[in-house]
Amino acid sequence: MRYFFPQVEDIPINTSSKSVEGYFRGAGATGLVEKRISGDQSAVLLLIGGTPCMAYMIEDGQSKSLLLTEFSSLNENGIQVRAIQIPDVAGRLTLLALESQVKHNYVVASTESWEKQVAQWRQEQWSGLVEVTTPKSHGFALFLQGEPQQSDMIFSTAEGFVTSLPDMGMINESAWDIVTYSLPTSAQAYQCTVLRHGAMHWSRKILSRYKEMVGIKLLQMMDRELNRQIQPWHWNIALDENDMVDRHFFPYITDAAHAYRALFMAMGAQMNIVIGNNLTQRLLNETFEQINPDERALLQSQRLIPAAFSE
Amino acid sequence: MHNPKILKLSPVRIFHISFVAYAILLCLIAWVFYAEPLTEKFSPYVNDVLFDVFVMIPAIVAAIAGTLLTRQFEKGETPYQIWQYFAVGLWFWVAGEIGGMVYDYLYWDATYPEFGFVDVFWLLGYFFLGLSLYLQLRAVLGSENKTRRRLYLAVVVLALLVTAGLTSLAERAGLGGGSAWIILFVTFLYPVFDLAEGATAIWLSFLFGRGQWSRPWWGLILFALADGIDTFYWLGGYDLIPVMGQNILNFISLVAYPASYMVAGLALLVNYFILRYGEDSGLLRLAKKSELNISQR
Repeated sequence: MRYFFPQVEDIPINTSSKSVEGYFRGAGATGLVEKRISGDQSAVLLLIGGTPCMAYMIEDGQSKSLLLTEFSSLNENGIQVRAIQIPDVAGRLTLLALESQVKHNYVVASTESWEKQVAQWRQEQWSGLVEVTTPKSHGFALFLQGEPQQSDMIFSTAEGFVTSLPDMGMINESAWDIVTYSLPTSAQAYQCTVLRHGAMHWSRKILSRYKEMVGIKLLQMMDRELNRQIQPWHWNIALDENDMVDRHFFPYITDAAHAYRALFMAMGAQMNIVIGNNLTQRLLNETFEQINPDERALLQSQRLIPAAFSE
Repeated sequence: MHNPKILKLSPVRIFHISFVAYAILLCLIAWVFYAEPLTEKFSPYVNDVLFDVFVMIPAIVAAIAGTLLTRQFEKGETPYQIWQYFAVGLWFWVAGEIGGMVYDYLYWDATYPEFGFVDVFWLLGYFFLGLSLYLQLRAVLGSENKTRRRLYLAVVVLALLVTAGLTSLAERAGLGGGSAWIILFVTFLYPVFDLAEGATAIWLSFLFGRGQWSRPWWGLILFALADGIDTFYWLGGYDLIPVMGQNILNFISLVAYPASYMVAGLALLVNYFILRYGEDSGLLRLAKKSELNISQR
C-alpha cells in the first residue's frame, strides 16, 4: 500500500470513510482518505475544504480516475482506511501527481547524484513533478523550466509539514526514492498549476513595477486593501509586498480564474486611483508581456488580460 | 501608518478648508491687482508688497508640502528622489519670490539690475523641477539605468545650446534693445525652460490620466501657461490681438501663476496625507468616490 505523507498522524476516528467525510466537512479541511484494497492496489479520495472532490484508483503505481460513488461503494470490510488532514499545497500537489503519468523512478544514493540530477533538469529546463520518499519524509516538489518552485514544494516529516527539500545530509544515510511525473497539459490540475504560476508571476511583476513608481508605503497600502477585500472569500491567498502568495487549493480552473480575476480587478482599481488609468493599463500590458508564454496563454484563455483590469 | 486622529482636523477637512481658503486667496489676489486697494491709502509699493505676500503664501505651503511628502519615502526609493528634487525646486522658487520682494524694496524707484541673484534662484528652481520631471518620466517609462542623471544633464546642455543659438540670432536681428548677450540669453532661457517643462508635465499628465500621483505636475502646467502668456507678450504677440483678448490673457496669467503653487501644494498635501495616514486619511475614499462618479458619467 502506498501511503501519501506517511509521517502524518491519522485522524483518530473509526474506519468508516463516511464518518471521515463528516469530520472533514465539519472542519472545512483539506485531506486524503486512502483505502487499501490489496497489496498493490489502493483508492484515494481527495477532500478540498471539507468537500469530497476527486477519487482515484492506484494500481502498480499508476492512477486512474474514479467516480466518488465508486470510491464510496468500495467494500470497506477488512479494508484499512486511513484519513489524514493535509495543507492545501500538499493537496494540490497530490492531485497533480494523481493526474500525471509516472515518467521515471530513480534511487538517489548521494548528494552528488541528486545535485547532478537537479542540474540536468535545470539545463533541460524540465517541467514536471518530483516525488521524493525518504525514510523520514515524503512529499512533492514542482519544477518549472528547470527551477524548483518554492510555492509548490511540501514534505511531511515527523515534525509536521515543511516547505523545503529534505535535509541533503540524509541521502548519505539512506537512499532517496525519486519518482518524476510528466505534466499532462489537458488535466485541470496542470492547468490550475500553470494558471497559478502565471497569476503569481504577473502579480509579482505588477507589484514590483508599482513599487518602483510609487514607493513601498503605497504598495503596502494596496497589499492591505487587497488582503482585506479577498478576506470574505476565505482564499488562502495573501499579498505580501511584491509577492502574491497563493497557498489555496483550487480544484477547478474556473474557480482559480474567478479568484485571480477578483484580485487583479481590485489591484487595477487601486492603481487607477493612484497612478491613473492610462498608466495602470500601460503597467499591466508591459508586465503581461514579460511572463512566460505558456502562462500568458492560459491567463488569456481565462480572459485574465490587462484590458479586463483597467478602464 | 499613523492615526489621523492626532490631528485636530481630519485630512479630508484640511483639504476642503485649504481648497476654500485658496479660492478666497485667488479672489483677493485678483482684487489687489485690479482694484489696488492700498495704492491710494499708502503707495503702489505697499500694494505690490501685499500682492507678493499673497502669492508667497501658496508658494511656501507647496514647498513645505513637498518636503513633508519627500520624508514619507525611504532614501533609496525613486519617489524619494523625485519629490525631493521637486521640493528643492519649489524652495528655490520661494527664494526667487523673496528675492523679488527684496529687489522691489531696493530698486522700486530705480532701475532693476538686468541679471541678479533672483535669476539664479529661478533658474535653479527650473533645474531641480526639471530633474524631478525627468526622474518621474523615467520611472513611468520604466527605463532604469545609472546614467540617467548624465542624460538629464545632456538634455539641459542641449537646451542651453539651443537658447544660445536663439540668443545669437536675436542679437543679430537687433532684438533686446542693446542688452548684453548674457542678459538676452537668460531672457530666452525662461521660455525655453517653460516650454520644455510645461510640455513634459502635460505629457506626464496624459500618461497618468486622472491618477492622484500626477496632480502636483498640474501645477507646472499652470506655470507654463502663465509664463507662456508673458512670453507671448514679450515677443510682441499682443500687437496681433484685440484689447479684449489682451485683457483675458492678462487675467489668465494673473490667476494661473498663484494657482500653480496652489494646485501643486494641495496635490502634494493630499499625497502626503495618503502616505502618512493611508485609508484612515479618508482621501482615498474621496478619490474612489470621484473616480466612480466620473466613470458613471
